[in-house]
Amino acid sequence: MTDHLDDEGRDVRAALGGLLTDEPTQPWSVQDDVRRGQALRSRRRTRALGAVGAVAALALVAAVVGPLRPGGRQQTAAAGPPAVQGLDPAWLSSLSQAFTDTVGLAVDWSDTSVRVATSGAIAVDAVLTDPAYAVGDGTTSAPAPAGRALVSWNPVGGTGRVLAQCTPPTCTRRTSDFPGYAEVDGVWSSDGAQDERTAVVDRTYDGAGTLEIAVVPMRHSESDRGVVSSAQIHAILDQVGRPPVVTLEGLDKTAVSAALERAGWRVDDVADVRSGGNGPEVTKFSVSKDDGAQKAALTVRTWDRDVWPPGGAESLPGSALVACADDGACATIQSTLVDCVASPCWSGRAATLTSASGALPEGSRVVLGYDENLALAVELAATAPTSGGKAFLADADLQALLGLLEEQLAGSPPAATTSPSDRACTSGQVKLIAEPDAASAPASVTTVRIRVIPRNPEVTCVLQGTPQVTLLDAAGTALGYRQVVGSTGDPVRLASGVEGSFRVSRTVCASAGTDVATLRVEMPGGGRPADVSVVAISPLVSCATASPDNDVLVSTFERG
Amino acid sequence: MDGTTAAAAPPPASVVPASTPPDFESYVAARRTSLRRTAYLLCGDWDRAEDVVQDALARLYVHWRRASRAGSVDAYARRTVVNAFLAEGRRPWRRERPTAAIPETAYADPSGTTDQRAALLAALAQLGARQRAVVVLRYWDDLSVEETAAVLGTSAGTVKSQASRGLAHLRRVLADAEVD
Repeated sequence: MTDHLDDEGRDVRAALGGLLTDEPTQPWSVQDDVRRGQALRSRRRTRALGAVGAVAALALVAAVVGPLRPGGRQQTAAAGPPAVQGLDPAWLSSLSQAFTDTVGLAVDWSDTSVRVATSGAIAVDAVLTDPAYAVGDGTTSAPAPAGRALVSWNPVGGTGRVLAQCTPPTCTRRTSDFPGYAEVDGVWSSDGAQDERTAVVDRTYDGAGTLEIAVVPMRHSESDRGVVSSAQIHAILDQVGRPPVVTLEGLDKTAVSAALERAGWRVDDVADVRSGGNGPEVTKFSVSKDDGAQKAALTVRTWDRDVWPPGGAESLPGSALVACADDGACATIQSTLVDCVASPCWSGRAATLTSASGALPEGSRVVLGYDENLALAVELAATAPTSGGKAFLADADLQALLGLLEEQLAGSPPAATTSPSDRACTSGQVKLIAEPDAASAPASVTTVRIRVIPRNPEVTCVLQGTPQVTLLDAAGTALGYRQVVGSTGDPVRLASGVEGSFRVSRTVCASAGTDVATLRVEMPGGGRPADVSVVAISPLVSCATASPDNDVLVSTFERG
Repeated sequence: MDGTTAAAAPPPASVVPASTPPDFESYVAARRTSLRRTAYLLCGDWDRAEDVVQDALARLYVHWRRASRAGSVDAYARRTVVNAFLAEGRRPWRRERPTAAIPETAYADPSGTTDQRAALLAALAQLGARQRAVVVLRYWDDLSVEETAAVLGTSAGTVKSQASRGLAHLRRVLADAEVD
């Protein structure tokens, strides 16, 4: 084992070692561990036999009932594929089933990424493993995979994307060969572990759709698995057939693309990316300037609230940095993200990268927008150098984009028969900012004013009624209180330059209470609840639940 | 950061020559203590660490042939321990709840050693499970960034950032403990 640590790291290691001073004696012998292992294996075999029995029983039923129903293939026992917007999971399952039927391997969906694009293209970077290790029984300790399968479907023709995996000196095919290499096997003969004995097989369908599968064995499993032969890949292609049509819904990519184009960008590609397991949802807009001199990737990411607690960025997964391949540049971007939380970073921030060797070259800039309300980050990163530190996007343009993106990602407005301008505002359409209420009158009452601002100039909706407000402490725990609703007011129609507000008030507690850190606001129009931090202004205290003065008054919306 | 008090020995270099896969029993005999120490630093509790190691070794037993054939028994065992720890933390009755406050120590220690130890344990407990795993794998098991990333199934960049933040947090808490 190599010492990978510097002096500080060694100090940490010594400190951690100091925690082991009360180490108790091992209570179990090696034989106990062997017995537990034997018991686990026995349970799994029993379960497998049970599954076989169940399958046999189902097969018997199917044989009887079969004539009444269309036939179907037996599905693999592997854990299910990820839910990918617009893509029928049955096709992904059939892909794994085809590998199982043909070469005895299954797709380990927990380590597999699936990408779809608005063009209908599908890219599956599949990790292949023994079906026994891909069973969805909660076991996450799968051993080394047996290989990778890169499955690329392009309904409008091949792009040679898979060939990007091939180092040019060792690649016997070039992208310029396309489509001449359709139905041709490619075999690499280099010494590289990734390239050696790789097999690529294409299948062209009517209408120019092309499906390509490249299979790469892992280095350590070559001895026992070997490469998947081209004949086997042909069999897999036969079984999988033409992939389904991808239908993307939800985020209105057309609207976002239009906004980008209004900002002077040409949209080259829009794609949803869903990582396997619990990876973040990502929508990526690849854009370029009309003059072709600049290119950029606009990446929209959302995270669960659980990993992005109100008021803290410690749990940021940092996966926004995937575009960054250089330590120095990554550190710069990371600090931007963290700094962003500490201040109202809604306005978007820019970081100039200083690395010359990173994936993002010197002179590139990364612009991050962050919205704590929606646990949403938007990143715009250059993929080509710019001269003179020219910004990709003016702040005003970025604001408009962020607003539009966040509105889209916050959910669709409820169906209504009224015109769009008459619909109640959803949380996604507005941004909420808390501030002290200067007009708060008596000293015995503390009030927070919540500004309700349209996310972009195109928003036209109505604020009417009263939002539902939940008080949260610093740990995110809901605090007990009774919400008192103010009298009904006139509706406020939000539009460009017109904002609304409401107030949250309470009398000062008779006794000590708990500081309110966050207001969780549910808008009458629906959408995801928005969290509004009040730590900075902190006038609200939740009195003890039993306190008779524990009423909180939430006003109706008002203009301005 | 001073941790010189009766520190346990760091994990030994792999006792398993890659070319000759050991049998399960000799591997466990040689590595169980090391795995349990790693599990303890992850869990902060010796009983839970024992549970995690038992779970991990049972799984290792089932997958032994494949893991030993791949010549990566240590890596596999470590990954299984970490996965068992993460999986255990997701069980509802043991779900961790990060806390901002360091638990008060019940007594004062004139030497400060016990206070610092408690502070370090509390600081580790404040880290998220995966971030704690990064810190332990990086700084206790002496894995490289890439090896740590492989164990956790994440990117090297994430490991770097998590390790950096985790270290900063430990440093901060321990500095506070020394001031107090």
